[in-house]
Amino acid sequence: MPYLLVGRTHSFYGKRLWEIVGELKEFGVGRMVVRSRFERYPEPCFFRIVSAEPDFDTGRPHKDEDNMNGKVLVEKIFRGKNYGVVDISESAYKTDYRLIHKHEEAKYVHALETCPPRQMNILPRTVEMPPLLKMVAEREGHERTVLTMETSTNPCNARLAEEGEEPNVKISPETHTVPVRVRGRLIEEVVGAWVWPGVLWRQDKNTATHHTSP
Amino acid sequence: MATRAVLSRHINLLHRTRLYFRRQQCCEYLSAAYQCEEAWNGRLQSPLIKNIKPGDYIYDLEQKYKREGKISAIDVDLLMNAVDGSKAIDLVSDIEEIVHRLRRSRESVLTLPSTHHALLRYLQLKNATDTILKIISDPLNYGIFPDYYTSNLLMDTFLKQENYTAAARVASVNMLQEDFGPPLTQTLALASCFAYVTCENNQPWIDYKPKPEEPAEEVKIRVKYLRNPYFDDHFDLQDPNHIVGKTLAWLSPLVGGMIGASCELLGWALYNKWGDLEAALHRIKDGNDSVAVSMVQRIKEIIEQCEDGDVQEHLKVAMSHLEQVEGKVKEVEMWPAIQTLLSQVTAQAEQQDIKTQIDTYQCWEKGRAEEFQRQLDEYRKRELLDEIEEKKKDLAEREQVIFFFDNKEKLELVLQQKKDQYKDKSKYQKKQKKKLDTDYIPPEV
Repeated sequence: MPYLLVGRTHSFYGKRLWEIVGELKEFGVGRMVVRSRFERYPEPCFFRIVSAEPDFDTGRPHKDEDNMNGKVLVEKIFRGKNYGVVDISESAYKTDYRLIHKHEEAKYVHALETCPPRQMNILPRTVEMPPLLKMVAEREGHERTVLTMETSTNPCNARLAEEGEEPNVKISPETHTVPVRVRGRLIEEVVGAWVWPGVLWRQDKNTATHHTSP
Repeated sequence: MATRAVLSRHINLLHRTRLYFRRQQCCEYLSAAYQCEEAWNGRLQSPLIKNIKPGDYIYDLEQKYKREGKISAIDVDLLMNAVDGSKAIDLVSDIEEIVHRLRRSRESVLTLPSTHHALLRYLQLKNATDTILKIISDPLNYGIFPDYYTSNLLMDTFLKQENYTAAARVASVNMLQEDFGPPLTQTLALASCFAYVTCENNQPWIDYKPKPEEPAEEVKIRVKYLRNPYFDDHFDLQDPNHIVGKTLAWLSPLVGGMIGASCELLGWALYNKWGDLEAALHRIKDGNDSVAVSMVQRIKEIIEQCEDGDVQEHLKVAMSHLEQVEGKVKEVEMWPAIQTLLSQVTAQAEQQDIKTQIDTYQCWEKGRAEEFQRQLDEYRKRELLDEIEEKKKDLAEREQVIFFFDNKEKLELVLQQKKDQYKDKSKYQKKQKKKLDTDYIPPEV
């Protein structure tokens, strides 16, 4: 009778990086791997292995716990941008890697060469209030009906619009698509806004409903 | 219709039997000079290896492993080169264990290229085919990859022994690494796979990958995350026909010509990649290369096994289109053609390969000496540093004793500080036991 593993599910699809490099000569230095999770982007995303030093442990293979540790340096290409040599040892244990065969490598390299640079997301300086907040503000007689937008200190591919600049991203309850997830799994995308974590305002129903926050 | 099928099967059987006997007659692949015996045995005279007694050395390595819990790549390399396959002593299982330990340690990165060659060559001389196949089929646990020259030697040996399964398995390692090497390695790999496919009574294809021992009853184990089912269609391939088919399909375009075209079609058919097979049929139909009639027959047989009716129909149409082109399907014996190609390639490459290999042996010896020296220097440096550290400690202690009265005031101050530090005794003292009331009587419930 076999061991029956019981645990949480996830959406990773592939093998551990150590399982791939362990099967290759010189730990796959020079070979290309890709993370299945990043294949959703239109721009090419892949890693080229620069050096790999696995620290295989021989314990508990029946618990799927071997081939998890080591140090790996890769040349990271993410969404068409080369990030140089980075250390991905922390995420190498994830069962989400796929080897790119040598005859497929040219396709990825060509895609990288021909990939146009990603458009910067220019965010509006102000956004409309969520419906419930707006309602409360109106009831209590506040002057403001908009909220000032703030970004994190180092936003990823986004910035606030300059004075008088037209933003290319619209953020409002009418246009905002909100992912509804249950235990991390996307079940639907609705047009609406998060009024409060766990409470979703749906444009179609015009009512706030309880959902798991994203 | 049925009569035609029976007749076709008989013709095929006859053809294969003829092929088998023809293969028996000519089994000369690489010459004896290719083994580079003299240059290889030259390593035993090197000062590093000459004094090593393999039995004692293995014992020392075991002791070191038990003491320090690690194994050094240069030590393993020295052992691999020191063992002599021509001697009666059998160290196969010990060596296998040592290589496994090295692979699972951090030192695995430092494995020298000569280790791979020396180990496989030793096992080949010892005729330990099972161990060779086990080691090269499980890189995660052994990490031994044959280089081009070693691949050639192994495939040559197995072809001569008519162990086509083993030869095809060596060829499939090149496919998994996606590195088919120079033309000689390519041709030998093609010959090995072709021999495996056409031979009727092959040795069994054993799965050497280790499986964890399973308990008698079902045991549920809590893990953090479950793994989603995933089949990579490369390292996970299990079916021998798929592995050999993929090897043929990827390798044959490099060989080219009639042999390449025929074997490519056969490869895609064995690999059951019907889309690729159809594309290859169209490409070959439009190209200049012809296909052997025996291969066409074989591919047709395989297509018959395709479960998807539409796909089968498409393939049959593509096949008939290929056959209709004049001069595309030729009555050629494949095995003699492969033999001829092999002898041509061997004649071209053999001398150069021998020269290169002799240079490689010298290069390895130099590299080994340098690595040994580096490790020796590092060991001495570490020993010296330890010694200095010990001496510094000793001097500091002596200084404290000699200058005690000079530093008395300072030391008293330090002592006072220490006392203050430990003043809050409650932190460090053991909890006092509660006083037991001897007269206590527990209430009745």
